[in-house]
Amino acid sequence: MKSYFLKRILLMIPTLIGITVVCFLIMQMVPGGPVEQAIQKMKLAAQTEGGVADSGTLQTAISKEELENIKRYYGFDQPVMVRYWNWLRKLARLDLGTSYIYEKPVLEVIASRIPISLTFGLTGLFLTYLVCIPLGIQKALRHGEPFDHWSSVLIFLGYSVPAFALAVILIVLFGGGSFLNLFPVAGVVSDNFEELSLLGKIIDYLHHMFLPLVCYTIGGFASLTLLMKNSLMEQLNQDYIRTALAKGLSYQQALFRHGLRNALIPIATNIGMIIGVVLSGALLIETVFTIDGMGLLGYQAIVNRDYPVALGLTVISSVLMLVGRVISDFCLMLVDPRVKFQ
Amino acid sequence: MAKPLLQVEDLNIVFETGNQTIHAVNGVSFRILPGETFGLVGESGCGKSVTALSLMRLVPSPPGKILSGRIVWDGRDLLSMPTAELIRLRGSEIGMIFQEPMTSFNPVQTIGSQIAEVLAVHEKMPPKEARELVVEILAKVGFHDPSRQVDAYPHQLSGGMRQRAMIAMALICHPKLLIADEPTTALDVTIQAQILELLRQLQEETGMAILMITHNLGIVAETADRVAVMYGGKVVETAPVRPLFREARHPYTVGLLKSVPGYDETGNLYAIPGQIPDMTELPPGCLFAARCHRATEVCRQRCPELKEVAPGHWVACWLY
Repeated sequence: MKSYFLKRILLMIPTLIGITVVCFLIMQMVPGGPVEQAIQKMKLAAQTEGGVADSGTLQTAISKEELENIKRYYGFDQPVMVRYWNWLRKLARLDLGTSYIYEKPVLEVIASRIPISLTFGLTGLFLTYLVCIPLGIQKALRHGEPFDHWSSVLIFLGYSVPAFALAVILIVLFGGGSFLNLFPVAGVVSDNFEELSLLGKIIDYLHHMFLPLVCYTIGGFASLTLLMKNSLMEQLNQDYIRTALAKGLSYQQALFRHGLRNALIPIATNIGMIIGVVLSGALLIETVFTIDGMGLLGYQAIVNRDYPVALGLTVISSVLMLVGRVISDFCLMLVDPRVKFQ
Repeated sequence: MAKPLLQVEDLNIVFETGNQTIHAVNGVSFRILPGETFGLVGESGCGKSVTALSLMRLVPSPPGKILSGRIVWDGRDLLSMPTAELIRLRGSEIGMIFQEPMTSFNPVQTIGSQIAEVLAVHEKMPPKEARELVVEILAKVGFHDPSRQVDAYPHQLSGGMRQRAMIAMALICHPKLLIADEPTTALDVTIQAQILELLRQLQEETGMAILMITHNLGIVAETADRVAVMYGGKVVETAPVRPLFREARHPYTVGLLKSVPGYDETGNLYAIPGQIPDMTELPPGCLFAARCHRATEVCRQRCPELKEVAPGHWVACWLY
C-alpha cells in the first residue's frame, strides 16, 4: 500500500511535466505575446510623437537593436525549448517568475487573490454539503412525494440559471437598482474598511460577498443532492438494510448506521478535491460584482499574454488536482475496506 | 396439541405497483409449534418469501401491503403490535437468515461488529462483552479461528462462512423461532449439507423452532417435521413430512414430487404443464385448476378450503 502511494506521488512528476509542456508551447504559439505588445506600445508612442505617419515607415522606426533588447528582456532571444527548460529549472526552486503586467513575483500576485478564493471555495463547499446531504437524505426518504418534486424543481432552477444572469437579477433586486438596497454591488470591502473593528470587518466582508456567494453556490446544489439521494436510495434497497431491520434495529438506526455510511462513500471520497478551493474563482461572477478574484486573474493573464501568471496558475491548479486525486484514493481506502491498493 | 408458537391466520398480502395489484399471499394459514421445523415449499413466486417477511413485518411497504389476517406470536398479534414492541421482538425472539449471505451483510463493517450490534440493541451490552460472546458463537457455528475472524469483513469470507456468520447473528439472542428463507440456495451442495447439519445441531441444543422456506423438496424431507405446500399465494396442502411424501393428496404436490429429478424411474424429467397463474388477476376457482389434469367444473368456479383428510393432513382440493 505504501509503495502504491509512493508510486502515485512519483508519477505526478511526469504528469506535471506533460501538462506544463503542452501549456507552455500553446501559450508561446498564440500570437500577440509580450514582445509584440511592447512593439505595439512603442509604435503607439512613436505615432503620437511623430504625428501622422504610415505604418511602413514606422516598422523601420524600431531598430533591430531595440527589438533585440525587448526580446532579451522577456527571454525571447532563446529558442522555445531553452525557455521552457529555464522556466522549469526556476519552478524546481518554487520560483514562478515575475508577472509582465503586475511586475511582481507570480506567487505574490496569486497569493493576493487567495482570500477571495477561499471565501468562495470554502463557503461554497460547506454550504453545498450542508444543504445537499440533508436534502438528499430527505428526498430519498420521501421519494415520489410532493416534497421530492418541488425540491427538485428548485435545485434544477438553480442549476439551469446561468450564474451571471442570476447575478444581474440579484443586483437589480437587492443592490439598490430598482427595488431594494440591501447589498453593495461592487468590491469586497467598504471604503472605510480600515477603520472598522474586527467584527465589523468580517460583517462588512460578508455583506459584500453575500450576493456573489449566492450566485457561486446555487448551481452546485443539484448534482450533489441528486448524487446523495440516488446513492442512499440504492443503499436502502440493499439486502443488508433488511438484515439490519430483521435483527431489531429501528428504521432510523438502519438508515444512519448502515445505509448512510455506505451512501456517503462516493461523496466522501471526493474530499481530496477540497484542496482546490484555494484557487476557486468564477470569472463572470467576479466581473459582474467587480471582485479581483482568481477567475479574473487567470482570464486577464491569458488575454494579456502574461505567461508567468497563466503558467503559474496552471502549475498550481495541476498540482492541487493531482494531490487531490491521491488524497481521494486514500480516503476511499479508509472508508471502504473492500478497496485495497497494491 | 401444544400451544403454537406462531399462528398465521388468513393472511392476505398484495403488492400495488402502478396500475396493477399483485396478490402475493391469499389467505395463508399455518401454525408453528415450539421446537419443530416447519417447511414451507413452493415454486418461485408462490408467496413463500413474502409470507416469511411478513412474519417480522418486513414486507417492503410501499408497494407491499398486508390487507388482512392475523399473525399471533406468543399470544400477541404481530400485525397490530406497536413498532417499538415489534423492534424488540425482531432479532431477539425471532431470528431470520436470508438467501444471499453476501448481500445480507453490510459490506463496510466487520461481521463481528454486525453480530455484536444485535446484542447492543437488545441487551444494551457493552462492546467488549459483546465481542466475547460473538467470538463464542462464531466458534459454535464452525469458525476455526473466531478470535481473528471476528474482525473479518464480509468480502473476506466464503459463501458458506458468511451464511454461518449469518446464523450466528440470528441466533446470538437465543430466539425461539428461526426463519430461514432459502438459506442454502446460493451455496454449493456440499456446503448446503453442512449448513443444514449445523442448523439441525443448533436446534437440538437450543430447542428453537425453525421455519424452513425452500423450493427444494430434498431439504424439506431431510429437515422438516411438518410441511406446508404453497401455490399461488395459498397453502394447498399441509401435513407431517412423512405422510406428505408418501401420500401426497393435492395434484400440485403430487406434480411437485414427480418433478424432483430421479423420482421417476423412466429417466425422463417430469414437469407440471402450464405456468404459474397470473397473480394480478386471480381466477374465482382453484388457482391450480388450469394446470390440473383432474380439474372439474367446480374447481374452476369455487375455491376449495383446506379439509382435514387424515390426522394433521389438510388439503385444499375438491377431490377430497
